[in-house]
Formats: sequence, structure tokens, C-alpha cells
Amino acid sequence: MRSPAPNSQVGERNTAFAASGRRRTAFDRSRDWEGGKAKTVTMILTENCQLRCRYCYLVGKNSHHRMSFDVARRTVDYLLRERELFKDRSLIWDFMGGEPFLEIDLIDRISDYFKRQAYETGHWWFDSYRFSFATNGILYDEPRVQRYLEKNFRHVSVGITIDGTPGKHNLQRVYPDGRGSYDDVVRNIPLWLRQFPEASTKVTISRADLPHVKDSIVHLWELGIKNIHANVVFENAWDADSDKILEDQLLALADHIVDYETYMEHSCSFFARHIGRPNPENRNWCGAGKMLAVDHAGVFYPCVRFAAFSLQNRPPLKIGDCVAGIDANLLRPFLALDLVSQSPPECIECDIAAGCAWCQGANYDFADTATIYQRATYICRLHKARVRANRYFWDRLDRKLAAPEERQRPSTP
Amino acid sequence: MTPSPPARADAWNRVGLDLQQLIVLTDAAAVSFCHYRNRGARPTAASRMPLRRLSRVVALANKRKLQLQFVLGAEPLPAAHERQIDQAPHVKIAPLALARRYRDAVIVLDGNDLARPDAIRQARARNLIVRLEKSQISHAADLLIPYLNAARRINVVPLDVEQYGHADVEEYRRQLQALETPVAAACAAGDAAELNVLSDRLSLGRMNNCGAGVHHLTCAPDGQLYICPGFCYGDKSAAVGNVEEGFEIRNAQLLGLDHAPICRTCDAFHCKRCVYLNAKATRELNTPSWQQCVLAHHERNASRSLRDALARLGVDVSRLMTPPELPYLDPLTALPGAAAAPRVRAAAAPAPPPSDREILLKILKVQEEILAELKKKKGDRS
Amino acid sequence: MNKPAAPKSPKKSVGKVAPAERDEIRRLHERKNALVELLKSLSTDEEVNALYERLIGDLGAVTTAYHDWWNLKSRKYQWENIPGAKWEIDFETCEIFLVAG
Repeated sequence: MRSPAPNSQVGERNTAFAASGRRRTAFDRSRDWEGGKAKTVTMILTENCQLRCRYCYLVGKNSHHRMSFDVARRTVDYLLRERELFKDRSLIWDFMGGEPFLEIDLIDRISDYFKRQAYETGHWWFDSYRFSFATNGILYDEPRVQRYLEKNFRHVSVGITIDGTPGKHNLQRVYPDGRGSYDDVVRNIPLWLRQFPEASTKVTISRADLPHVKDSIVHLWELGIKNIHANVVFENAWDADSDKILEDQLLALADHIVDYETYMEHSCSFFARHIGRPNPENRNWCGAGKMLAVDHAGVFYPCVRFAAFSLQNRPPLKIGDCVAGIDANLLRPFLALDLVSQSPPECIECDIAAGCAWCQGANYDFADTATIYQRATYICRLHKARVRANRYFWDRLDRKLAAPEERQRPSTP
Repeated sequence: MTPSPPARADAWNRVGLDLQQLIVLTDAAAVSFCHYRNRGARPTAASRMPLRRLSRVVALANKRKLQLQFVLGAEPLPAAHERQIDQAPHVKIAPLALARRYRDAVIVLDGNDLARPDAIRQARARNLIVRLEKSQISHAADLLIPYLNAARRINVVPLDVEQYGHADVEEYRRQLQALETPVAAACAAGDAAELNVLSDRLSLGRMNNCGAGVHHLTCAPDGQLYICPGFCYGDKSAAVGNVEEGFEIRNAQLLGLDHAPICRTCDAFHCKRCVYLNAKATRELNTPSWQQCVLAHHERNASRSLRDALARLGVDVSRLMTPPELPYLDPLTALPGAAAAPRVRAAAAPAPPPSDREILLKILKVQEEILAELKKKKGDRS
Repeated sequence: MNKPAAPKSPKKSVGKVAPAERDEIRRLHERKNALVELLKSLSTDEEVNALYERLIGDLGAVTTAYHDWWNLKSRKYQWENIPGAKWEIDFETCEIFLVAG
């Protein structure tokens, strides 16, 4: 973000030269605001949405479960009041649904209320907060949405979910009558990218999407979206050949990146240097418990994945509400969880474990007992496929960047 | 809740299983002897474990070389039951009402029992379990002190721990502090009872926990098996099997120390790591509540003080463990990445009162300042 | 004295600040933005009340501090400058860039 001022300008630039002298690529840059350490509060404003995406965990969409301003106000007040409990330096309000922009007036009201209360109470979050949105993009150009974005421009982050090629996108992201939503989303992409040039999108991949991974990511880059966060679903959604298909797709993507030299400006989270090493430490990489999710009724969850609509097999796992606050004891398992306490021996001893993610919500939903401490490992083979593809990619990229002609290229900040 | 898993007859033989004991509730109204509550009615023929089943349980225990602990209700067992029980080595756990009849039993006392005149007589040279209500903690020391020279061992079980607030925890700490001197004096005199919350930590170099589901199982009167008696009185789907068909404990690894991230590196070795309380307060078998952790740390800190008190009295403490000083009361806050955990700070030691000299100097200093000010004003006027 | 040559690329790295200095300007930057956007949230009715007055006062103070930081650091580190260009900071690397106007 930039703030124009005479003779001085402050901006968040993210290109530079690596200390080794090798040019930093888009894959080298860190994008998490505040190093990923901000407190994230997910406000589940509505269970309504224009779409009926086939992989969406929110089944049973409806228009009557909507958060009231009173619930939102109580939540804001609670968070600002409990300074001993919430000591994080920064705060991210993560508005979601359903489709959050269906509730833009409520969002506007909540945002104004928070800003004012944080200022008047002298809370440190006034100096470090963000409003974040995960939207299907259909309402992005709507005047009220645009007015809100302009009003809070230096504090908003908007991610539009577009799954890739029209074919892949329309496989899953459909209207209730089965029509694909690609056209209604893609028309807003240019406006979005003009306003947020460094914006990223999140691509969720399940079994049916696998054959389209490479083309979809390339397509998104061609639309101008430079940074793609892609992940496979944690559910048991895979066939015997899923890992092979994923690996082939990632190898093809690797060749495209190196051959067409897209690596300076474009990145995809499938490829990262740390992938495939042993786990360096016994930590928890899932933010459940550190973040907070609030549903329309003001009930608190450790993550949206523990709300009723997100679960297939288990009842919701509540940890409090906006009136009584958080039950500290119900939060303890999430704060204590680490790699060793939840993983089977083969995961703990795995030589290529780095980058193999887990989801405590999936753990809970698919475990033999009602516990978050039994890791759901359905993605194991896909992680191994990703590791193999990563080794191929980094080998090709490093050879390319080490080539004499590459060294002589001028720097491009 | 998840339906009970299918029982496995070969579970008793599983490699790595370390079952040593079988707790047998002889009656649905058997006395509660730990953190759980059994609000059942008085024992009846219908609530009692049938003789045939009792016989099978004893045979099973003998076959599997399990030590038996029979938990009794408020009424004596029928003679036939007593004969059956006597066929195997065992321990009885009984309420105060049965103390005279079963002279070798571990006696369970509620807080109200402690004040009864006959309780101390029955407690002489015996192992006691004392269950204290939250409302009794404020005078726990007064209730327990008379038993320090009577009983052989006192296991204090504070009830409703998950409902303790910070003030309750602080009161608990004060009561532990109040017990240090009488316990030390009794030890120095050579006839002190072991007091779990104060003395156990001094003799432990590693974790010594309840072991529910690991070292022992519980058999209810209907033959269902549970991890611990506390689970017998809740959802029946908590059963892990039965004496006829065997058992299966899903996610059994969560009962062990390796899969308990808060406990794994903790040195409150005397803590019971009560899985019943864990499940009740945090919904996870491997995660204790902040109250359990903080109380256990107050206890270990009190053990340190007791050791110092014993040393001052000339007792040889060279063989006693020395819990090191710790900057926290809740071990969760010491885990990496646990910054979000609500913090419970150790209560600061009260500052010593100022000496007479210090008070006098303060007065003089104030007087000097006043005098100087007065002189200045006088000078200004002139 | 020769004037420094205009940067050949639109942005040129001209120096670096210490992490603590970076934290100062980042905080000022965030606070300035937050005050501006809180002002946008106030209704016209509120423009005459105490909150508004306080807000304006704070914004003035922060803006002054913000410019003071740039002036101070540019003198301290003697960053290259040319008329019409602006300095820019990379919060991640603490680097200062000269951006042609």
C-alpha cells in the first residue's frame, strides 16, 4: 500500500535482490501481513450465497442466518475489552459467509464501529488492523461495495475466488440452476487488479479438478492475478491415481514457469523451497484456536471449520460466545496441539514432512473419536507428489538462474 | 457421541498394553473416591453387581494377573460376595460408614466427615481419601491438620476444580501454605501421614499419574468396561468394552504422556493427570484445564517450601527431590507459540514489613524536607 | 557540485534503515491511514463534535511526525535525491528506494 506525500513515500514493496546476488523471484517474497502473526477474527456474516459451489463446506445455504449488528457490536466490544486475553499486536477482521458482500451494509457498520471504538478506547489495534474479504467476486463492482472499499482502502484486502479456466471454474462454482459463474466473476477481475495489483486468489482442488491444475493456474496468471494460493482438500476425496495426476500437472506447470520465465512476477504456493524437508520443529502450523470464528448468532469457534455447517460427522465445537466470552479451557487443546501429539509415527518420522499441512477441523471431523488429536492424513500421497514436483521445479529454476546470461540481466525492482 | 467400538477379546494380550489393575464398582451406588460424583441412591440388590458377574471378574483378573480394587457402597456386601472377593488379592475402597467392618479398606471421607469424632478414630494408621468441596477449601488446613498424626496417608481430592476461579485457586495456595508448618513438624516428630498434595512430589523423579486406561480399567456393575469410574456415570457410549467380550480403546495414545503436549515436559510429577477432569473441562483426554495445571504447580511449589521447612527442622532431606523454581504456574504458557494462553501469574511474595529503623528514617527524611521548605519560605519572606 | 544522475530505472535502492526505524515509520504510516479512514467514517453531524476535533488534532500531529521522520532519516543517511522524485520504503527489507516522479 502506498501513501503519497511530498518528497516522501511509504509503500510496501516486495522486490529486492537476494543476498546471494541471485535475483529474487516471486517465489521468494513473503506476503503475509505482519508475518502471519496478526490475530484473525472470522465473522461469518451470512449463510446466504448466490452460488452453490459443489465443494463448499457450507451446505444448507439460507437467507435467514444473518449476523445482526448487535452481535457484531458485542463481539467487537469483547475483543477490545479483553486486552489480557488478546495481546496480539495486529488484528485482521476476516469477513466471510456464504458471500460476505451480500451484507455490505452490515460490514460497513461493523467496520466503522470498530474503528471508532478502537480509537476512543486507545486500543493498539487502531494502529494495526485490516479488513479481509473472501468473495465470489460477483458483487465486486456494486456501487456500495466500491464505496466501502474506497472508504477503507488502505486497510482492505480482497480475495476473489476464481478457480482457473472457465471449464474448471464452472465445474464447481455454479448457480443453483447449475450454470457456471465464470463470466460473472471474470468481468470484475480487471477492476480488482487495478485496485489491488498484488492481490492473490485461492484455488481449492479436489478430485475432479486435478486434470485442470496446470491450465487453471496459468490461466489465472494470464488474467493478471500474480499470486496463487492453491491447496488440495483435506477430506478423503482421492482415488488411487490422484497423486499421479497431480504430479503430472505440477511437472507441466514447472516446465511452463521455467520455459516462459514467469517466475519473476508470478508465484504459486504449490512450489516453495521448504517443501519436502524433514520438519524442523515440533510446532502447530494450523491457526485454529489462535484465530477466532464468530457465527451469525455470536457463537465462538476456534476456526470456521468447527461451525455446524462445516462439519460432516460431528457436532459443532464451540468455545464460547459474544456474551459470555471464551472458555479458556475449551481453547487449551488448540493452543497446545503440536505435530507429535496428533500425528501417527510415520508422519513424525517422515523425511519429507515440511509443507505437509493439516487441518484441525478435518482432524475433528474424521477422527475415530471426538478429538482434534488424530490427524487426518488423506493428503499424504498428494503431498509426496508435490514434493517430487518441487524437487524438479527448483532444480530447473536454480539451473536457469545460475546460467551466465541470467546473471547479466539488469535488476527489476 | 461416537458409538462404542466393537470389543476385542484379544485386547488383553495387546503388545505394549500395561494394564495392572482392575477397578470394580460393586454397586451402582458405590462411593465416589475421586473427582467424579456418583449421586446414586443407596445400594440395593438391583444396583449391586450380580454374584455370577463378580465371579467372572475375579477369574478374569486372576487370569490376567490384575490387581483388584473393589469399590463399595454404603452397605456391606452380602456374604457370598465377600467370599468371592476374598478369593483374590485385592484392595477395598469404602465409605466411612464401613470403616469398622472393613478394617483394611481405604476409607473415603467427604469434607463433612472430617469433623466427625469417630472419623479420626477410624482414620488411625489407614489410607484415606478426602474429597473436599470448593466451599471447604477455605478451611481445608484446619480440617486436615488433626489427621496428620493419625492416618498413614491422606489423598486430598478437591472437587469441582473446573469451576475454580482465580480467587479459589489463590485460597487453595494459602491453605497449602498453612499446612506446611504442621506437616513439617509432624515429619520431624517421625509420625506424619503422607499428604499427596505436599509430600508426593518430594519423592518423585518422574511422572506418577493416575494411569486410567493405561494401567487400569474400571468395570461397572453391568460388566461394561470404562477408562475410569467417572465415565461410568455419564454417556454409556463412553464404555470401551465389557468383561465378556473384551475391549477396544480408540485413540488410546491420547492417554499416554507422549501425546499430552502440556504434560509431556511438565515436572508436577505428582499430578494425577485426571483424564476424567480433562474430558470434562477441555473435551480432550490429553489436555488438562488451567485450574488443574495451576493447582498442581501450587502444590509442587508448596512441596519446595516443605522441603525447606524440613531442612530447617534438621530433617535429613538429602534424599528428597527438589522441584526447581519456575517462572510460571501454567505450563501451557511455557510451550512455544502459546502466547495466546491466558496467563496466570504466580502470586508475588508479600514484601517484608519495614523495620523500625526504616520507618524512622522515612519520618526524618520527611521532616528534613519540611524543615528545608520552611527555611526557604522564611528566607523568601525576609 | 554535480547533480546526481537520474536513476536509470524507475526505482533505485539508495539506502537502508534499522529495523527499529522501520517500525517507527510503519507505525506512523498505519496510524495516519487509520485516522484518515476514521474521519471518512464520521457523519457530517459529527464534524463539529469533540471526537472530530480530537481526530483532526491527532492527524495533524501524526502527519508532522511522519514528515519529520523522513527529513531526519534522509539527513542522517544522506540518501540520494533528485527534484520530483520520492523516497519509498520496503517494510520487509528496510530498504529505501528513490522513485522517479
